[in-house]
Amino acid sequence: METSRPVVVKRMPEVMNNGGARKFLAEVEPLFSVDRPQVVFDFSQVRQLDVAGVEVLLQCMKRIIKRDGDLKFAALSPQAAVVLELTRTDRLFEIYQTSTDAAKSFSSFLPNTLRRQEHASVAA
Amino acid sequence: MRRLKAILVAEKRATVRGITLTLPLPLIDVLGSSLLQRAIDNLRNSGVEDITVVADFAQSDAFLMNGVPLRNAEVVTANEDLFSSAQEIFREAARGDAEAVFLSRVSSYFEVDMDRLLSHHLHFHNRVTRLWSGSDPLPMEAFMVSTSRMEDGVQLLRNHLHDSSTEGVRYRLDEAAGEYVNLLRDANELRRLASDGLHLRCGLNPVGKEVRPGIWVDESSHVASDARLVAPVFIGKRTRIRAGAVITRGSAVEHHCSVDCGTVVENATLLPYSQIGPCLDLSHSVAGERRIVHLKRNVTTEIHDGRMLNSISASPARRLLTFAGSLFSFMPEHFCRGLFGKLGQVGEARTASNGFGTTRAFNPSSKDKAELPEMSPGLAVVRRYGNQ
Repeated sequence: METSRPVVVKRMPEVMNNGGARKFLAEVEPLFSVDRPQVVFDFSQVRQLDVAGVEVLLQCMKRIIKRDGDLKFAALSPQAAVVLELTRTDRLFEIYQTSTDAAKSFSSFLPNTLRRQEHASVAA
Repeated sequence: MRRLKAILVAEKRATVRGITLTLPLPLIDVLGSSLLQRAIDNLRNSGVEDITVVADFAQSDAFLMNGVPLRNAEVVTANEDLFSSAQEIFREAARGDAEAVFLSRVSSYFEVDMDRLLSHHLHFHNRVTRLWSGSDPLPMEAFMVSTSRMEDGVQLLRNHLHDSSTEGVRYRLDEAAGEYVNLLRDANELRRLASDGLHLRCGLNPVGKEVRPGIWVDESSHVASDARLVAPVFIGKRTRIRAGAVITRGSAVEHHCSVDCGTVVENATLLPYSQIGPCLDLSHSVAGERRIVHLKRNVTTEIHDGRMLNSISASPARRLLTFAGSLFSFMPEHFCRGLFGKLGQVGEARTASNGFGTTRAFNPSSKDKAELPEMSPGLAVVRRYGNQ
């Protein structure tokens, strides 16, 4: 199923501590005002993520879900992956290798697309 | 048993790759006892009674760092160069009545059959015999040296126990003969050592009382009644496991640690003096001193937020002050609760300030409270669920 709604990919700052998280929330807040927002957070730059950062991620998720949208994560840095696992937050989000994969996943269920591509290559 | 002497060299800067700790490797506790103490005990158990530890830290430092003084060995603190002091001790031993001297740097854990080693050394007329790890042969920093060849031992110590020009037929530790070796090259191997000890794959016995099969808990530790321990696990001295925590799958929580409410520790080691926050999930890791080494991801992450992972001071006075501070900050809040009875408001304020606070984990939701009818103040117990 194709979608015409835009997917916003937001790169996270390097440090998601108290100050960084608050600033990040102020930056992304306008994204949640639209109807059914589709947002991807790119974690490739993240080196430090603490409780305040995780709380902001949960707040973002809460607001997006209220608007019937979806939030996905992409390109987790090893540091971010460890903290998300430690705080049991990783299981609340779909996580993709790259932000392109995450953006594509909004329009179709990714495993189906991959399967279709495989069939197409075999047929060719 | 022929007369043997052992000299163990314990360096302050020795560490496990991937873990930066203030504690030197010989003083890191594994299942309740330091690696240095375990090396001494293993030598004593195999019949070596004359053991000297040459260290670049004082006995009092060792006491301060892991809370227990070393037993059954003479400890010599090197004032200048560690290996120069070791050379002097070796010369003295060679002049004495010892037939051979066992020289080792405390950088790995091994269990060796000393009779077998000495027989091998004498059988091949080796001047110096180097120990090699068994299955995947790698050189160890442990040697047997004949005292008749004093210069060989001195030369070996001059080379900081790295290599010897007069090395004879190598001695490989044989697991089939009950020997064991762990080279402790990285955090993975440190974790494997604890796991092997808990699964009884080596002679490394957990220090503590086996309260249930496979569950070792030190008597001075405190485990909440509704915390769950799944065998095999080890809980060290003066450790606190709070309500709802789960320690499972071969985890080791070393001395003076704290595991907060609802946290799950699975197949992980919590190093001494570490505090892990509430409602977290620590798995396949070695954690301590504000660092987590994730063994599956092979990554070391520094944790800057003390609410997730924090260090507890090794000094008892400082620990007492910290406890008093937290008590004084906790009391006014509860005093206000008692005085004004606004449980919900104070609870919510605390939850907002600390997203992973115990309040959030264990407070009933506000919705549940709203559904409850007004109760008589004299009513002590009421069923909230089921057919009331």
